[in-house]
Amino acid sequence: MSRYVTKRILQIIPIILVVSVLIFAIMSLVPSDPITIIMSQTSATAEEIEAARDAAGYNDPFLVRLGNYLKNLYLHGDMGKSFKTGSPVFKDLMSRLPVTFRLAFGSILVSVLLGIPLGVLSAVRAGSLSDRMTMFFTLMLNSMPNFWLALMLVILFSLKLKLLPTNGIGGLEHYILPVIANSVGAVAGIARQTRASVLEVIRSDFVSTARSKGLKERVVIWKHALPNGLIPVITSIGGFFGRLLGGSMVIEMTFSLPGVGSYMINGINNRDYDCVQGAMLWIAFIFAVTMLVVDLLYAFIDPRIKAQYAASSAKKKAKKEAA
Amino acid sequence: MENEKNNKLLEIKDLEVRYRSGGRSVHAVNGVSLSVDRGEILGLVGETGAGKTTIAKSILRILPDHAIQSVSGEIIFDGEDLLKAKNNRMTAIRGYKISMIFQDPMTALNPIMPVNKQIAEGIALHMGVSKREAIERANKMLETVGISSDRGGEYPHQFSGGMKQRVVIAMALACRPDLLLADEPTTALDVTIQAQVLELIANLQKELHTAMILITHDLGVVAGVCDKVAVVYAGEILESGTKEEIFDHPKHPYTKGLFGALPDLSKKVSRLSPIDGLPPDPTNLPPGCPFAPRCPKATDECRQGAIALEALNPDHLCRCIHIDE
Repeated sequence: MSRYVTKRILQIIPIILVVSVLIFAIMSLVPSDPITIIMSQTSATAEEIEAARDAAGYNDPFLVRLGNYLKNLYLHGDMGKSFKTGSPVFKDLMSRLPVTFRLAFGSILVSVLLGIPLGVLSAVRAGSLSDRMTMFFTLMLNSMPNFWLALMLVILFSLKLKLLPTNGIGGLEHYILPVIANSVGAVAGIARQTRASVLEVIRSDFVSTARSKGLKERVVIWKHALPNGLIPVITSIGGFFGRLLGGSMVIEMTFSLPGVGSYMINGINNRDYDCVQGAMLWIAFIFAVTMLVVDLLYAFIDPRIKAQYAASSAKKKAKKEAA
Repeated sequence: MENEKNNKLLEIKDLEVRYRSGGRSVHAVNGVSLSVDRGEILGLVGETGAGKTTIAKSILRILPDHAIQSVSGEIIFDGEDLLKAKNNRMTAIRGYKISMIFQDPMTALNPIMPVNKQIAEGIALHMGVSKREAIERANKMLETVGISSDRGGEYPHQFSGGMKQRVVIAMALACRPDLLLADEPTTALDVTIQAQVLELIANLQKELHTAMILITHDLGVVAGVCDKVAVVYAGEILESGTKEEIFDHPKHPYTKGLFGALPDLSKKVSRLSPIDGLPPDPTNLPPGCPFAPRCPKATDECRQGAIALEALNPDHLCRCIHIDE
């Protein structure tokens, strides 16, 4: 098992490497660059702009620029600095992570605590009116764009009722609307996934066995049926969570929260290469880590998967010894 | 007389179960009456789809709610009508007074819970002991069914089919129930394992003095284990009685047909004689005797009204109007 974990952690390295090359390539395809954008607002001539671009190395061949970028990133651990503000990207990201984390953890907590029970209740009463209502509303909420929902929430709670702040950071109250806007889709997604997996498990023989032991229906569902249907649910929670940790771009922009997502959007608008690349690297990294945690949770939930992990590394070991 | 009355553990009267399926009602069980005494083994014999499992599941009331249209009749267990019992009364009976062994051990165990924990759940629930004590008793139960208690912490996928069925048996007998419902406990197993598992069930049944309803389509199993036999066809009991009566003097053409379909080593027969045709469609049962369409003796009278179960002698009941011929 520990071999498996080590292997999976090492696998993150090539993923990040490939992602950094890809991001750099894509960013080079984007027309215009920070120097052009800034200098075209001044009275600089085309020749002056071109000279400044030469000096900044923007006119070097692609491979040279890529080489420099990778060298700085991996040999010196330098993610570069923002062209606009001049502050190092790494420091910027670190200062913005707490906001993104608070938003992500808050949203996922709400989504899981509401989504799973909602899905289970729906599955237990499959076909009933309450089940059909739940499915109808979750489908609706799932299809609702979150920026639109965010704006509606702001109109209602901030402008009309004047209960909550419209944007910015501060106390806990600043996170309430963003968390709601962020969770609604996830609650609906998780509820639908939970319902589907529990429904699949609930007709299993071992659930009948659990009932025939005299266990209360509540115990049968929560202790026997749900854990067996949890794997697809964990997968979808992992997906949501990974995306949230990478920064909820739309929501952070809507509520002017200084998180990783809004940092990246600003970077894109300013063609601030290093900022965008830094933020993208963070997204790739945190997504890979989340997926690793999800895979480990599978093993934690299902002993058969754990045995598989252990077996696959044992087989390799045996092969190596034989060779 | 008084003694005899106390001896009766389970009595089913006129049990009828209808399923709902695609807008049509499926007549799964149609007026089944039977009784089981304490410590006695009743064999329910019949083809697949005859309603045997439905009878067993309705005793425990674990029929799938969503598919059930109606359940009527009486199931008197130890003087109490289970069909009228409250839900929490049923949970107190399930696994404690009545327990069940399921057909397929591969799917009957929760794949993500250690086996001793699965056995211990019922013990902790019904015997009022601590979790640790329950696990200890579960491990002892595993020893009883021939599995080393060291393996108690392992998961179902680490056991073979026969071993899993032993675990299921341990689970069913952990609280020493008065009645055990064994639903084709050996059907899914290898032939060599079948005999072992059957012997294990029979031994434990004697030791614990548990009554048992053994559901099977294997007449050999019935001959080896049961005291009484009931032949089920299309949700009705066509013939019932002591094992000796049914095996030595089968009266109903269907029962005879079942025996005819078995190879008999003492006689030289070139061909087995199977019963022609298929069981009737349970959504559309024939009005009279359900076996009439396949019966060689059937007359117009058979196809008209329902036919009563008549006593040939105190130990033998048969639902046929042509037995004298």
